[in-house]
Amino acid sequence: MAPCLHFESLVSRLSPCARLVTRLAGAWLLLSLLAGCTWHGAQTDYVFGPALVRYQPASDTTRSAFLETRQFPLAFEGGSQWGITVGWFDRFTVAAREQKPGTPLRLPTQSEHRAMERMPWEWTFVYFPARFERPREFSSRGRIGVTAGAGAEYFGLSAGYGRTTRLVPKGDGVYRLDFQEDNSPATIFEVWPAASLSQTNTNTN
Amino acid sequence: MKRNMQLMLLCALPLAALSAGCCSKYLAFGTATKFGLDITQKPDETIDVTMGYDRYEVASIPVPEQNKKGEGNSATDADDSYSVLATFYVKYGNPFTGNGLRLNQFFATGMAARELAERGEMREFLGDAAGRLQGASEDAKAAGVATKKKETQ
Repeated sequence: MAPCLHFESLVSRLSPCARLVTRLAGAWLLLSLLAGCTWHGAQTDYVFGPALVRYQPASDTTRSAFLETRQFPLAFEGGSQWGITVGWFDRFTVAAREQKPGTPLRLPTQSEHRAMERMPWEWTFVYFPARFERPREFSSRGRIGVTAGAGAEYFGLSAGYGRTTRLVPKGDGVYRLDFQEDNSPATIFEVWPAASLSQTNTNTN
Repeated sequence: MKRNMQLMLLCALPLAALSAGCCSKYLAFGTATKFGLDITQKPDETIDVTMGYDRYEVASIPVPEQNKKGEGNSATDADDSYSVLATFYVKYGNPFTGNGLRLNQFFATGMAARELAERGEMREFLGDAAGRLQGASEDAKAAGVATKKKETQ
């Protein structure tokens, strides 16, 4: 409280114009320290402001591409999905990894999960603008606090805890998804395209 | 002027809500868990107001286009956007104790669904495979299983 009063007493001594500029600069500084922003472009996401990010690019042939961002205590979104969250905000998106023709259809096994869980998924702190290729097919959004959003992933207002998921397959195929909220990077998401299905056997064990 | 602005804002919210999900002609699966106050537009295009705890699972599947008499089907032998064969397993727990949402889906769309429907072993498999993970059968009690099967023609 004392620093605020001190700041106010300093500001009150300034001319009206300088006072306005000082207050705007103070508000901008506060916002830049607290507000994490994401811009959802057509193919990419731009993250800036304080945010934690986990990212797996699509170039990896053994795992699905994913992007996870966490922002606190203020998160803004724009582009294809608009939103504002006051509180904790988490967003995870993953793309289906295309299976080669001939790969048998199967469900995820426990050993696959254990292997994924052992991988070192570390968070990276992002402040300056960073560009990420956006996985598009599956998204999961979690929030604690007050949220307003407008877009395909979330459209509404909420106060409290909430998590929504959305899966929109890209094309005809057989899809296999295993997602865990507590361990999002271990998500397994694969697709066998319809065109290559005739060469594919089934393994239901 | 001020009253007009208020009126415009009051009208804009429901109109925007209606237009956002309207006319979506694609397959989509969605889930939601909420605790608190929530006013949301669901993927099935209805507006939902919740106070307290709620959860839902939605599968939104486009229907074949028909003529005015309610006849016809735009799916062909080479192009089919409407067939879906899916298993859907969802498990909810307390998200603050490391038992949050768990989703397990296996589904086929369009021509791939037709291809799978012709395989006897897949027909059998899709009948009871939802949520089946080796060594995780104890989760079966908590499993919610929804199987959708839609065949055209």
